[in-house]
Amino acid sequence: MTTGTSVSPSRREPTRQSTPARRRIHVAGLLRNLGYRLPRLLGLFVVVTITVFGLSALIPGDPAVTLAGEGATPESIAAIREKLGLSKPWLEQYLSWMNGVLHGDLGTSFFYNTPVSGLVMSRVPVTLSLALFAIVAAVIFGILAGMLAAARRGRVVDKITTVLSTVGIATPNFWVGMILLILFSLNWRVFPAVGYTSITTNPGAWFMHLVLPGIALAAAAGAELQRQTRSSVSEILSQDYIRTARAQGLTRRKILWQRALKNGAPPLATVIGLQTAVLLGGSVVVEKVFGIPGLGTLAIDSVTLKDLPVLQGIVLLNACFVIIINFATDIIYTVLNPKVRV
Amino acid sequence: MAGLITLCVLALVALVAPWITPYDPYASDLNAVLLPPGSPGHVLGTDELGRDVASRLLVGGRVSLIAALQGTVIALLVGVPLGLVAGFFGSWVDRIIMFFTDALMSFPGILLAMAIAGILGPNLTNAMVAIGIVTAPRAIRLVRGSVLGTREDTYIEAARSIGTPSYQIVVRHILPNVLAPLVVFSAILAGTVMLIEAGLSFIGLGVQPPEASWGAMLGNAFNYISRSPWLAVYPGVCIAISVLALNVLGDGIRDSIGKKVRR
Repeated sequence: MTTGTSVSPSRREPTRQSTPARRRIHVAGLLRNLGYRLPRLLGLFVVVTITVFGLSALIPGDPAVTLAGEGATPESIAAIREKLGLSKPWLEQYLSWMNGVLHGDLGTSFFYNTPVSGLVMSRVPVTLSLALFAIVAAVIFGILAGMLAAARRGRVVDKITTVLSTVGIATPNFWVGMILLILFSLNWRVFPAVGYTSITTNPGAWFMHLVLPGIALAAAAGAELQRQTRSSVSEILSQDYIRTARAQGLTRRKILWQRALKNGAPPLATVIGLQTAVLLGGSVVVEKVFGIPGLGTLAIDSVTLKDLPVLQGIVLLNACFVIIINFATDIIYTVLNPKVRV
Repeated sequence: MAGLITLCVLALVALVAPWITPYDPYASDLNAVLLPPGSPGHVLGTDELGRDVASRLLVGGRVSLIAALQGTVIALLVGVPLGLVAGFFGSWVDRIIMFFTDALMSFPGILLAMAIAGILGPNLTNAMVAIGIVTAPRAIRLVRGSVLGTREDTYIEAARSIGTPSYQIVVRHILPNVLAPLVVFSAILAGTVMLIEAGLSFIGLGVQPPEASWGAMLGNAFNYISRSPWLAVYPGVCIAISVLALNVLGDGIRDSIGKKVRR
């Protein structure tokens, strides 16, 4: 886990050390951090898989009969029971399912009769494009608006952006999408209404298809970021060292972008990580509104079609994304904020 | 304050909604389908079955608000006891509870709620149970955090030293301290629950027709979005106003009690 340079508490004090020594301590701390978090990460993954597998226990009545649907023959019910291994004990079922998951085998879709992993993986780039578009938009606009509000605290700009973000947090993202759809696609025909084009086919069309759903998805995240940026940057701006910097003749712009944003970054990293996770879930309904063939649309279809293996696959994949995002956020936070380096 | 007033008005309207609707919200009139707003007799127009939109909004609001209440209560019923136990007893109990809390929080909320509600079968109760389960971890975290803040206080130690049983310490001394942040949290949680409910109802997993919540009305309006875009406007505005009122109320209480509570 840790390298040979174990860090004693006394050496962690911010004494004046030469730069290489200090850097070595950071690396050691980071490695120790990883060593502490990795087993936890594995544990989380196990609990998540148990939860996802356990979803099948929620099916009311006899799962095989319910999944087979109305008008099912005894043979098809028996086939489903056989396919799911429902007659075996629970632990055995879980272990064989888990064995498949670790080998990238998520089972076979009831409806499409193809492997779930292929089905799910074909949708991943679509949803990731959308989520990435949204998070980039949210970060750019959210942080800019937050900085603006903090720099002009109490003025009109501050009030307008703050009201906007308060409303943005309270508005359902799919409804923002519907309104954008009505205005920009149906009325003014600026953007295509529905569908998706892969970036490899036509980058321009890819972008145009993502603008409206991306904005709809980014609205709440951007609003949340605006609030966080505003509060942490304005807190920093009221500190003594900012006044000192002002007195030394640094321009307002330099102070804002170099001092305030840099020192306000750690909490922002946390919010960005959190919002990325929220975005992945939120994209489900937004995808539906814009007819984007991503994971969300597939998830809704699989719920309607009672296609349990597909649903389980999507939920599992999303949870893994979130775990990875949280992990990365923690690491970035540690790197940005020297106080929490262990 | 503004949040409280708005919320009271909304609650009052929801309460009396069945008696003040100008039309029967379920009565279809195929001679007056998809009328635009401002039509004589129908201030906000009619939907695809000729049902009066204003009446449906009133009754739908009742469904939405009750659903938000249901989901919040379920989340609190699950979350508060677990949070109290985790925070008060600490050590391995705390570690186990928080580990499962973290695991549950690894799922994108609406997706897990959708999966649970979809598997249990589409109706409003199942949807609200699902949303309650999905949001409970936040309640656990909040309560645990506040308990940890008071657990080491001197008066708790005093109570313990004179032999007060644990459950009595928790109920008499710790719970009152947790209450203030919990009220703030509940207001904001109700807003979150409402947003998730709207999403689930939109895709047809919440309340079933002919009943409708605001989210379900949006789902309906989506099918006629190119012909009658106005149908998509009102329910969304209503949801936004309600959630805004809840958030503003939560922020207001937080500021007035002067305690820092994380959203």
